[in-house]
Amino acid sequence: MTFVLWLEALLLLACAALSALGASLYLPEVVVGGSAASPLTVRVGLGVLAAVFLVASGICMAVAVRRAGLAQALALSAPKGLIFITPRTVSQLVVGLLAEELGETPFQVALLPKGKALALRVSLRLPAEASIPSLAERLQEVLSTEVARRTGLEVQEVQVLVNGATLRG
Amino acid sequence: MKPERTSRSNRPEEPEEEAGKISVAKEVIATIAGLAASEVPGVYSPKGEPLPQGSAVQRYVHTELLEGRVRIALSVVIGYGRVLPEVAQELQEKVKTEVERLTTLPVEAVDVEVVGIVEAEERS
Repeated sequence: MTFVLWLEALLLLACAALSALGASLYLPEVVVGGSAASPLTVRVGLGVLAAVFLVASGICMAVAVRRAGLAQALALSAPKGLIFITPRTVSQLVVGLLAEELGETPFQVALLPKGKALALRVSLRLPAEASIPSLAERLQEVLSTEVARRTGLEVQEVQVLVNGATLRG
Repeated sequence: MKPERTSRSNRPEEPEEEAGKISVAKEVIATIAGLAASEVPGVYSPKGEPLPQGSAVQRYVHTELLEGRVRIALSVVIGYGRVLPEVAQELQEKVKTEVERLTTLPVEAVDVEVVGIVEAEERS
């Protein structure tokens, strides 16, 4: 998947380069000739297109770099071969741990590479009556300890984003 | 006499003996690996079900041959509550031992991809 993303990024980059070249050189005059669109309009259009391709290419590269970093962070070397733990597995584990701690609470989990280690970002709602700092701190402790223990991966950071409160009853 | 092994691209191994060649197909290695994997507690198919018996398990096992050595890759799901590297290493050990015992082919590595966690274990 990462390879496909790199390929997409390169293709988009090539498109951006071609569009930019077209905008800056004589392509509008040659291609459009006597059509209704003025060369300047075509140049501006190609310039915008080049910018869009460039941004899309940058996004693809960023995603590819992130995935490659994540793949490195999720691989373990064992004496008899490699052990690779997919991001989905870690997310499922975090979901299970949060369900144990908080019960039926809506939350979202994202994994981020942090060098050769892993960072977890959890967005969730906490019970309204709970002390947010102490509960969030406990969650950080539980997640970093348990994820590291159960997966063998290095968890460098746990970011907890409390984006709401839940009312009981 | 201990068989001498040679590798071919499609047919994994053909240990040679005086009486003739013995070929072991990749599918057979995959089936043995799958059966060995199913004996490890806490290991399930990527669908979260117990690993199927027989040739059906081949879809979760990839076998590769490199200069007469076998490399096996398995995709599995592990029961919730288990320590994943421990189960994965037990799986590697079991698969390597069984494949080497039953085929006499050297296993270079057993790569394990843990694709998910299943809660079935808690219920069982």
